[in-house]
Amino acid sequence: MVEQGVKSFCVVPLTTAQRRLGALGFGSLQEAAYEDADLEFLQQVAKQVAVAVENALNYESVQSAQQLLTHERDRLRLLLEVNNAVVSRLDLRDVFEATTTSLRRVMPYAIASLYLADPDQKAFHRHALVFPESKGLIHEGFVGPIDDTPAGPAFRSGKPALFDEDGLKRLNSEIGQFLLAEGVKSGCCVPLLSHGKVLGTLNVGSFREGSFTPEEVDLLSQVASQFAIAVENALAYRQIAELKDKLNTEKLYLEDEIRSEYNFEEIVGESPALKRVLKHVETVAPTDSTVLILGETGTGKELIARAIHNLSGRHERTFVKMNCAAIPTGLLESELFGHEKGAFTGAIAQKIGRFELAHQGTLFLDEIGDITLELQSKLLRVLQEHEFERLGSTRTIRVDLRLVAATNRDLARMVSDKEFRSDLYYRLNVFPLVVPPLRDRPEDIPLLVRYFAQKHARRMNKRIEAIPTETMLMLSKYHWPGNIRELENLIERAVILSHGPDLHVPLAELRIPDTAPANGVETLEAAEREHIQRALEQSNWVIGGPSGAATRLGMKRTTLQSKMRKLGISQRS
Amino acid sequence: MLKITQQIESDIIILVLEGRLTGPWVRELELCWRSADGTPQIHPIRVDLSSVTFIDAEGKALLTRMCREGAQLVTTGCLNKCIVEGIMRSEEKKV
Repeated sequence: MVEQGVKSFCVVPLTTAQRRLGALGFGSLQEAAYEDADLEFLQQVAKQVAVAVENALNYESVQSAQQLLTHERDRLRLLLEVNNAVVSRLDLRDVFEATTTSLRRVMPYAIASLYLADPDQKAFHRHALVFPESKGLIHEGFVGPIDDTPAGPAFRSGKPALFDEDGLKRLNSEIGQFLLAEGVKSGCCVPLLSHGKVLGTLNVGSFREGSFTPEEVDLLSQVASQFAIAVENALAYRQIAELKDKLNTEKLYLEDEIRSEYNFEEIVGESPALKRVLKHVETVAPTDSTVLILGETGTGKELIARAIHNLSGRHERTFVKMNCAAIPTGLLESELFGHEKGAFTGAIAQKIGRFELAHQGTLFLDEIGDITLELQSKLLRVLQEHEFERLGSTRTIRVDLRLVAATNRDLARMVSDKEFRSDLYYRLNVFPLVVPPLRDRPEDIPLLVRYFAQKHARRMNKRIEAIPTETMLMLSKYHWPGNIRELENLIERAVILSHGPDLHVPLAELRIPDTAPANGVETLEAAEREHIQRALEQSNWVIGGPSGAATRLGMKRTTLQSKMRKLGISQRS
Repeated sequence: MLKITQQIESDIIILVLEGRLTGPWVRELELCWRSADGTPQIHPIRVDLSSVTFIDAEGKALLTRMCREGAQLVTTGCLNKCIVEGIMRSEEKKV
């Protein structure tokens, strides 16, 4: 400055409220050129300049920060879009397309693909592919060994893996050759991790070398962790869909089985007694009225109930059956109405009762005469109000169902003996149907014998072509205390025992038990029958319950009922 | 399904079982038995199996343990009686 003739100099600080930026200097060729007033003026100028300088400096850092923010926003937007795709779509291909479309805006790529591992983790399946500039060498649906693909290291290690041209050459596989031929020079594969398990890989490739920076690999990993949820959901969804299809197929099959097993044509017989019953079935079926089916054990009450359901307007819905005598008394209420978890000790989960299951369908309550008086009142309420509560619940459930009940007991007598509620009896007895015992329709016996012989012979892959006349005569004469059930069981046994084309029936089993003791000594069977009958009479033919015949005889109700069937004991007899 | 009802009669705790003693209900019975067994006053325990319709292998094993630890098993019906008698016999042999 001296060399250039500067004789006086003044420096003022460049300071803003936030920081000191530097200084502003002024030189003059004159001595003592700056007075106090000048100094004050220059300080004012410096303040203005300082603001301008600070603005200029800030602009650069703002620009850089804005770039960072934009980048971060794009990353977050991408993750949000991936997340939205994951939660809103169940088809994996849709999620992949949405994800790769969003990814392209943040991370340009030439090819993106999704590899899923097969269940035994040996092969990859290229599930989805985006490759707009493909020469046609690479397609979706590729299946090949995991280690033949550039994604192998990422799958095996569970960590992201980059690859380049040399890496593709080293693979020495068809897929590596195809990628090179397509012009792919670099790429990145990230594992799809879910609950510690690698499900597959998400892969991107570029026509440029070293295309993917560590930040991009990190971003792709974040995308992959979201995408893995979609893969897991899609796999679970696919499994559910497969199971649903299987269940539907099974349902169709079972419905078909039920139809073929229990359709109206399966009621075999041409006797006037049976035809009368079937005529009544046709009359009552479409009316939706409650039906009470009465008849001895083994007469086919369930078949009649199914026929009523099949001919009714509810035939598209469920036919729910329950044998009230086959379930322990304490569980009957729970079976009928269901229970909530914790309703009683042992109620470890919620249970839907038969009434709910039969909603809009038909509920068939077999052996209705065996339910307790306490439960009868609850049953009456459902029949009258069409509503009930599950055990342990206060929520009232409304149901719309048709009730068909059946019993082999004399309900009218039970009402007079105060064992059955009269109001429930009248509610059930809207349309009584009496199924005749087999002995009242002997003309149906030959038809039934031939029907059961053919049915069981086909099942056992045997050829039964004739039934000896003598055998048929004996079968027609027998009184069949166990009715059609007894006849069917005998014929099934006969088919098993038959080795030729003639049906060999063990007729000795049909011996009518002697009523009078031979030589003053009763047979064991006769003594057992008499003893059971006495116990039944003493208990007014009540089988179950504390004062029932079963308790008196020290056996279970179901055992007693089985013995009664075997010995041909019924209230009528 | 199994329903377990606990009653106390003349100082005896009676566990009345109804239904099937199988699967998760075996554990449920065990919990119920342990909690009854752990009451401050020690009562003899009786298990009434009269209304049990089926007992699986695990159920049988639990009944055997209960029997070994002093529970009395009572039942009716030929099948349940046969199972209970089998348990008693196996325990007597061990003694």
